Amino acid sequence: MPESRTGDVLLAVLSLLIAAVGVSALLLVPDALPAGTTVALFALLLALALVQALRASRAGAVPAALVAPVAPAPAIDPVHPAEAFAELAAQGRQARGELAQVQATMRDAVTSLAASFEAIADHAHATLEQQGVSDSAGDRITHERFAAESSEILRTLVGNVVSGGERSAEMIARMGSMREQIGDVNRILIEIEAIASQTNLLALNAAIEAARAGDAGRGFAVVADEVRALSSRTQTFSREIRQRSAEIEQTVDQAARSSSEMAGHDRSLAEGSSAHLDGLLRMMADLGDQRRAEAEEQAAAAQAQVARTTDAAAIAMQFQDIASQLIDHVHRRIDAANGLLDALQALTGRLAAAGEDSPVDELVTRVQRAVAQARAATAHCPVNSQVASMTTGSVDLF
Amino acid sequence: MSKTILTVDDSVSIRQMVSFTLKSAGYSVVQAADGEEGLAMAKANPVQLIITDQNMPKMDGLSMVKALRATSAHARTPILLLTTESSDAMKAQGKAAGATGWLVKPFDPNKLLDVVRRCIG
Repeated sequence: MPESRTGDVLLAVLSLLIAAVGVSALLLVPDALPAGTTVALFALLLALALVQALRASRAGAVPAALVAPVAPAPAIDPVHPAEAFAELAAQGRQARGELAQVQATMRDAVTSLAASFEAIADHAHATLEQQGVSDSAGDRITHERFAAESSEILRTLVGNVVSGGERSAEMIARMGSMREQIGDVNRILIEIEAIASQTNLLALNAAIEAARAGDAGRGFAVVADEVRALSSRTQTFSREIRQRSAEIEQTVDQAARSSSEMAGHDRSLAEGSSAHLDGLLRMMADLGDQRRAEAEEQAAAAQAQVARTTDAAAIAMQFQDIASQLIDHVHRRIDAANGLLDALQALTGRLAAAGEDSPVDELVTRVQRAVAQARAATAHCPVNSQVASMTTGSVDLF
Repeated sequence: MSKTILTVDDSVSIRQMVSFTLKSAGYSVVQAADGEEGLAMAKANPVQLIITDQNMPKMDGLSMVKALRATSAHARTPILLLTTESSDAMKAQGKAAGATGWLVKPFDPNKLLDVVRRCIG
């Protein structure tokens, strides 16, 4: 039966072709990409299934001699088509794995985003609170103005005290000159007393001479008595003045002492107040600086935190793109699987109803095309499997 | 006058993040959604740096790099690839096409700014 033999040969060639495609798929994809391995296995299983189908339908019509010369590939045990469908399930599992990767990436990104935005909200809140602090800083400004005004008043007071002290010193100096003048008066009084004493002596001599002159000197004796009385009154008056002068001197001394004490006290008080006030103002200024520095430090820390948070958000946001590229790749895998499934179904359908005139060449081409398409479409995943984490990628400058 | 950077990516979120990062550092940013649009924008605008994705519809990043290197205006403009592709083979292709650097997504905003400052200050 030549026709039947031709069909057998064609089917044998077909199964060998597919087996060759399978083996080459394994050999030609040395980096053993999951997709390449899958396609290779697929092709092998398809070939095995065909051999099985061939044997079943032809019931040993293919002589071993026909298969052996054109089959340098290792002998393959018969495989039930159910195993091909098991491989399809494996393909599906792989797709599911990739989808799980997508889901994990999405979940990580969303979790990170939510946390970042929560942190942003917190910092916004903190910023608002800080604004409240700077509102009370307005009060602080009022305090500072109050302190400045108080210090101005205190300074004026201290200034008055100091100038009062200066005037006291002036007064003391004037009192000193007053004492000197009193001393001058006392010296003049001594002179006056000497004159009075001399006058008294002269009056006594005049009285003696008048008595010696008898009646002729009676009038002169009266004048001499009056001069003596005048001298005596002068002496009494001088003593009185001297006494008063001593009293005045004492009073002036006391006043000078009091003034001097008061001026010294005022000066030390003024100096003390001034030093105290300077200390207070310095303290206030330091406090203000400290609070300003603290506020600046807080603002800088909050700003840095916000920057870190937005950076994290910016990294997380990019996972939408990575996930979407992975989904695209999963779609390509599914399309490829569908293409293979179509080809497989067509082939098994034709084989079941096969006569010698089956368009086997066309079917071979179709399966080959489907295999090639599947390989091409899924050979290269745009996203490295290590990329699906929250760590940022590498940087290379050429 | 601030320097202008062109970001080319089919993903809106990536363009947003690149713009956000660069604008916060004081750069001006123009955007394009694929290689063709990027090529047209780079020819029409005086851009000092280009950051582009690899996998995009119409024209991919490396094709755009080659086309830009053929122009006199952008023969020496720094061009950075920002992509999920991380294999050494792809990086070698990038270097051969005339790219200045290769950044794998996701990018760290600080690292991106470091690289940009090293390229154009």
